[in-house]
Amino acid sequence: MHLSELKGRRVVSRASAETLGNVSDLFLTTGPATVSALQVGKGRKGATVPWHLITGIGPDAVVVTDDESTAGTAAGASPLGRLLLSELGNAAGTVTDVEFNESTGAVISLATEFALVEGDRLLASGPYALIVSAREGAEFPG
Amino acid sequence: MTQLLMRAVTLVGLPVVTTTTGEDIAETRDVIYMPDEGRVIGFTLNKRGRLAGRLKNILLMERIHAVGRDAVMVLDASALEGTDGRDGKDGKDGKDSRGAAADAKGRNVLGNAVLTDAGKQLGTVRDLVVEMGSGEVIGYELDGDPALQRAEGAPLLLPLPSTLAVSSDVLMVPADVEEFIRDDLAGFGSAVTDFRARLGSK
Repeated sequence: MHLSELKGRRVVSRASAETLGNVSDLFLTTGPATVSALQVGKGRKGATVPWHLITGIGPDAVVVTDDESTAGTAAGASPLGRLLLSELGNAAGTVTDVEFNESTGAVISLATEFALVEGDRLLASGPYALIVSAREGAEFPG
Repeated sequence: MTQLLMRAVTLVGLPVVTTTTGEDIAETRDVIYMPDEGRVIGFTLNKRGRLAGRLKNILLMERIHAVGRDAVMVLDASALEGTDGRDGKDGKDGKDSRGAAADAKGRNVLGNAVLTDAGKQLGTVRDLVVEMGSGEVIGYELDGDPALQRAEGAPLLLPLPSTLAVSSDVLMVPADVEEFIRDDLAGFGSAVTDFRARLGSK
């Protein structure tokens, strides 16, 4: 599943059947690289749904166990639009999409304008940049 | 390991980024070059942001994780600790680096004349060529005599011997160096090796 496919999808509470909003973004943690939460809506009406509250990601909606999701924005920054930097100090553009396993949340890959990087290379997701490990051969394959 | 050669000017203004948290904690302001040792020992720093001022801390070469095209990488913010000359906990380190920073001010080689031991002036120093693994300055880029250029406007990259005599305005190099002048960083590393081998075999 790509973030680009998931964006805009309706988020519905299983407990109340209320629509909480639409997926606008996601957040990552590292070690191993995983989706930690989905951002639903934006601004003051926005909410953050931790990954463990999600019961299903289907073609038409994301269902969450209840609507006790945290209001506002999660700690940590969205990966979208942020610089992707190798630990050797070379940049590969800004992140345009995130691919993840929809049942475990494990990050499969990060895409930028120039490169596609395996999720297991993600070392840190910080306010300035996402840091990925260096590797043999081409640092950033296209 | 491949040798990474960079011009010092390209090292200025790079963000200093932590690999563990992805934060930009500073920005390189200038390189600290010790001509006597022939190497760059670290960087002076600015705070991040357009109008932010200078940081008292410096970043020592041995605390750097990697230097790339787009950033100087350190493990975490502790890489800058004890280098502001005030930190009592790490007095020795602080003192050393303060000395180095002070020294660096009086040791600007940019604009200095490069003179061969045959008495010919090759030009003036425009930039340093740094081997990033060790911080060693293996060459200078010169503003110099167009007759030395391979093509009009081509850079003049001058290999340096492993030791050289430096005064406040002149850098003395062996006359043999002329034939090792290059115009491209690619292949410059081997020119330096060949030049030093020549010096060593005499």
